[in-house]
Amino acid sequence: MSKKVLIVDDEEDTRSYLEALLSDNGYETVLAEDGEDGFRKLSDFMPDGIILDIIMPNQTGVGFYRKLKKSEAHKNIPVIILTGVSSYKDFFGRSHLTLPKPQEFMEKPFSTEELLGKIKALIP
Amino acid sequence: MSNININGWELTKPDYRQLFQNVPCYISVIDRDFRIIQTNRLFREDFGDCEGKLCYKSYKRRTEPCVECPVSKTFDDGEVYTGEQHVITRHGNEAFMVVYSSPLRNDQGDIIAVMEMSTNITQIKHLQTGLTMMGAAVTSMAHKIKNVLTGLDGGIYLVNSGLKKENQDKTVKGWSIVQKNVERIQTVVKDILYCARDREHDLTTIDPNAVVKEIYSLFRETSAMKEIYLAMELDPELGSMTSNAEGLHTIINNLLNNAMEACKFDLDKRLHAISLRTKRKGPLAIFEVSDNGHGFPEEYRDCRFNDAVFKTRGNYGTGLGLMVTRKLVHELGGSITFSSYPKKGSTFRVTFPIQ
Repeated sequence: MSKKVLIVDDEEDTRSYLEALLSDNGYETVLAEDGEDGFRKLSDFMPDGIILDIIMPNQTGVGFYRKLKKSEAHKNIPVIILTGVSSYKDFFGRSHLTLPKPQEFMEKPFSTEELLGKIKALIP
Repeated sequence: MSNININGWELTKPDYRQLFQNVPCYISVIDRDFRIIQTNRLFREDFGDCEGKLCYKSYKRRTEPCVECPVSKTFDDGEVYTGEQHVITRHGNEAFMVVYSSPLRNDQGDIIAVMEMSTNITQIKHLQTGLTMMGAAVTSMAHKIKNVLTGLDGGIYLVNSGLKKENQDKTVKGWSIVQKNVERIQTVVKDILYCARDREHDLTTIDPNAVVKEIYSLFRETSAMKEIYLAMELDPELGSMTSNAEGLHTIINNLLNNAMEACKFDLDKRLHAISLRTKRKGPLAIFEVSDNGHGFPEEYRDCRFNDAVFKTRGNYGTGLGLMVTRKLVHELGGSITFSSYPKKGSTFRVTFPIQ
């Protein structure tokens, strides 16, 4: 049975890219265009991992991550932050001091091999 | 006019007077009550005849003494103080000065007045602001370009994957992503080139309300899709004005795009609205774009357009759109200001002389 990955990114092109990349490598995907949409799909889909952008409308990646870590049912799902922001700590602000760090952090544009390597390590 | 005896260095009282008057910086002598006792020629040229008037009223337009007053400090301890100050000239122009305050003592050594000597650094300040703006724009531009590059990577990946698997839908989708991102990078490059060049605009008689109406119709559908209510209020008294229709179109277009972004990234409200207004105020044409988006942080409340805009908006867009807007407004002889309240929204106001 294939592993499931939730992709949360407001850039449609990035969502399409990750969807194609992951499905070509045997993963099932579900797409969300912001944090709010992502959280709605979280319960229905119960992913094995999440790829999360930071700057998004409605609810940012930071807001989504904070909610995720407060949710007993979802807090252990591994998260890869994939963003154009050079330092995610800038956007996590003080919350990075009180929240557990995301498992992985990658900057856009990214190498497909590197991302796949991280996904395979986190979601074998 | 007496001739200064530079050979023997024995300056007479009139010589000193001439030096005081002609020194190429601003000099004013101020008493303990902040009243200006004497000024030199350059001071009077730019700030008018202020002798007998209060210093903070004359070139600061304040009703009470400044908080960090160098004159006051010099009166207190007799030391020389220096600092940068923002002043208003007699023509109402802003100027930045480096100010030195120095005590003037009587024969007994008591401080009887303080001399302020100032150098105008407005041009240096403008260059500094330009560099700061450029730095902020480059940083935010890098973020935008990263997204474009990711889009291009994605498009190429889909094309390759589609070709390999003979999946035409995938190939077509990938190619459309490539095309879209090439267009995005073209826009960024055009904006950069626009900012880098000085240009002259053909001025004709235009109907500014017609330009605004056209933009309104272009944005109406997009804003509805994004669930943003777009309102338009045109002043029929505005009539025609001498300007450049294309330039005005770009200005209003950029400000509306900016307002849409401010609403898009406002996480606190469900209902967003943008208002587009034109007004005639005497010889001035005013164009306003208001949004109820995230607004500017409190610390930027007193900032000028240049300083504030690029610090905040750069987080989301490239900042180039507003840079282009500012440049265009100035090229067309207008001015741009803003007012903003954190989490409540912002209003950008562009003013042009009608003739």
